[in-house]
Amino acid sequence: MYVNANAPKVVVVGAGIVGASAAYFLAKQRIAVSLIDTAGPSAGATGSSDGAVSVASKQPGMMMTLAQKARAFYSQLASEGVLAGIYHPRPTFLISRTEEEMELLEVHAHDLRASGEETEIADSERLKRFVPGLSDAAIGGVVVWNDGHALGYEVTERLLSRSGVEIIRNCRCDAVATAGARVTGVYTSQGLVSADAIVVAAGLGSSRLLGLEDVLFARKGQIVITDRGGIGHAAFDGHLMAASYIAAKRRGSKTAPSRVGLVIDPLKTGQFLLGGTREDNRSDTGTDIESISQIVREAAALYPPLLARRVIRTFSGVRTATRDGLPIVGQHPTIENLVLATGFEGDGICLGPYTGKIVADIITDKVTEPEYSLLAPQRFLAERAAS
Amino acid sequence: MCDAPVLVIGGGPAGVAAAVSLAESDHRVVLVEQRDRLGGAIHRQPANRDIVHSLHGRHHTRNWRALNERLSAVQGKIRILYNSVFLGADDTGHALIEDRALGRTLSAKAAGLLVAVGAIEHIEPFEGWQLPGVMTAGGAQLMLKETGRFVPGRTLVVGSGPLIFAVAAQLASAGAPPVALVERGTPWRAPGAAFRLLASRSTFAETMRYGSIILRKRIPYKTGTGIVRAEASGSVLLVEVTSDTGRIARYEVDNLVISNGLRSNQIGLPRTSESSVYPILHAGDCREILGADAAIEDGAFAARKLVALLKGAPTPSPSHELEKARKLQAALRKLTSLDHSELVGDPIICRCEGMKRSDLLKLGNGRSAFETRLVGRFGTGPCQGRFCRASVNRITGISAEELSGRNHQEQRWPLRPVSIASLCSVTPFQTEFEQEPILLQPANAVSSKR
Repeated sequence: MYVNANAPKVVVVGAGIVGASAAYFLAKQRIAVSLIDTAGPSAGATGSSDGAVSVASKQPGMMMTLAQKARAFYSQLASEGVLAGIYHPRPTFLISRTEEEMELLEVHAHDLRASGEETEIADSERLKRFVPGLSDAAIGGVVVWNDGHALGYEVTERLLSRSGVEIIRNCRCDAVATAGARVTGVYTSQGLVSADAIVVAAGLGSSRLLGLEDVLFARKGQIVITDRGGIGHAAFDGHLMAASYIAAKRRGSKTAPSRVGLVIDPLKTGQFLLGGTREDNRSDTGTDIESISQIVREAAALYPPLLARRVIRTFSGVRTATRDGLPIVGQHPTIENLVLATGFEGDGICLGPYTGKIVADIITDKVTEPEYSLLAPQRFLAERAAS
Repeated sequence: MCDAPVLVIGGGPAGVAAAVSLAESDHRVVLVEQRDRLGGAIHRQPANRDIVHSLHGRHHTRNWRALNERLSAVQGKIRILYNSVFLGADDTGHALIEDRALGRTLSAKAAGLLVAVGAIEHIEPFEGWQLPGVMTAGGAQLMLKETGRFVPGRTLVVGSGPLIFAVAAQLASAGAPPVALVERGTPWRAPGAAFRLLASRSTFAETMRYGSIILRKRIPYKTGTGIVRAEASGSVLLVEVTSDTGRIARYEVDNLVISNGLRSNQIGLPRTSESSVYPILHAGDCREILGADAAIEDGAFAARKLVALLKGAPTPSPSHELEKARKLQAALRKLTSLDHSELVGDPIICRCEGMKRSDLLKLGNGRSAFETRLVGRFGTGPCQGRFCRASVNRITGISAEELSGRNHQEQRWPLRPVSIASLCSVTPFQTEFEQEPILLQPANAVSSKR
């Protein structure tokens, strides 16, 4: 066991969904946890994303397996009551607007099926049965039946309120304090906070703390929120994702990635969340008319009932991307008791709770899933130690 | 003449004065007005010629007529966009305007931006304020000015500030005298402040005029008395008020008109900038509550400043008039106790999401502005916190600026809900100005009964 057996104390840096999940699963093992954030819970990407708990956009391999396990973990937490009322199973509709995109989706569906996903290739008419109002611009698509939905800030709020951990808001973490190769605490804007172990789940803020400036980068996404349209429930059951989104994420795709990876997320309030752009090295949260107009034009062309809605807010979320496109999760290669969990880009909501449990397992020396060894920080930090 | 036009937002006294002054200095101006005619809240014009009323002081009528005459003289230089709503500025500095007539959004890069969108009406929440039959003093005035009439039935006017005094008299003039005027402040206990009103002839005359109507129509005027709650009982409202000395009175009415005065309104607006490349200025009551007369002066002053900034010349100093108006407003505030009173009971704080004071308290101490919005659902509805942020600020101490968004340093738009159909068709505004002939709708004749 890494932590002091008598009075173990862990500081988690970053109160997004990953940090909150780690805090929750550590607290469950009766470990004292302080959660520190420069702003407060969900203040970063967690509070400004759609709620896709989805494997639909994944390619076969480790990330697909992880996403499937993470999604199953959501179901488990929902049935155990922790995330009851917050996680809902619902399908993802991958939509193609061109023949070329349809070809891409057919290959993609094949890959999903090979990974054990229940999928269905659907023509325009079939899609309209599930998404009334869908336009003919949707020439076909793929239904991924077993996906789900949860809003990041709701998950974070629930886990924090259930865990009872101490939350320190508006506190900036400046450096990790060590004695030899061991963590002793963290220097913050409110002084030194001592700890037996530290979890850094601070998104882009992890860069400065751990010197990962050349590994992590910002990928901004502009998002639109509509009014409720007076319906008071989700307009349809599922999440629309344009094939352009898959194309943007799928390496070697022939379809040129668009600036907008279109997502239409019907919320249970009746509102829609429409996203989003992918703008590298932009960490501001402003929005511009050109991008927002493109998002709503593409969204309304696919789902014309949106034309009767109003936009009540636009904002941006800032994803933390890594140089190799994979998250960083695991023990720091040279500093004992320092665990990293960052760089989830757009997968934080899906992978958050499961990763939080894995982080707690790493700290308490339990056996972790093999997939996570591929995410270990060595791949970036070992080369640095050698140089 | 400068090439790119200056954009003026708001067709009230400050905006029109600014537009006219800019045009007189040889700038081309685009004036954006959300309704189908100019005037703003103060000079709201009747919906048709048959409607006549004498709702406010004659000097307002004179002022407005004078502005209209100057406007006619610079016709060719001002283009007025009616039915057009200012949505704010995006993070590339484009001013965004929803053109509701043509169902499109204009995106403008202007030479300068002058924002004069007027005040925001302040309401202190009480239990039942959201019920049908309750309306703001501003809403009541709008109805009176546009139609010359009011909703039938018994009306009670409550709140604080000069606006309820004016609206009670205006209701009486329109043949709908309220059953009572209930003011939380105690003007009689501030003789010094009352004396200050004498410094402004027009304000004094207006106050006397309203006072004499209230007296003549025998409208009971209760001071030092605040509202406790309103309840719906069948189709009527039961309203309970209580005085400083604990005396309770109950009214059964059909309409309840409420107001706690006007507040400046700059949250979410593009921040002011004194750069010579793209100066941005605020003017009129949105900048500072100085009243209708001073709004004209403030608009003209902002125009002079903008012209100087564009030329790279030294900026002028504010006129003595503005300082006088500031003192007058301070006196009015003192007279009518415009400061906050205690919130009573468990009123709805956020109208959009129906969230109550108890819901806010349940969130617990130490919550960030972002959690208050996201988890608490305060300020996430269609009005995006325009209404509730003042109350949330009082209860939690979180600043109204922070409550308006994740990062109040960044531009926030849309300021108002905007239709998706309109956002689908974005038109660059520059070409718009070049291609279409500059048309000026004739300013509506001011009708007023002597």
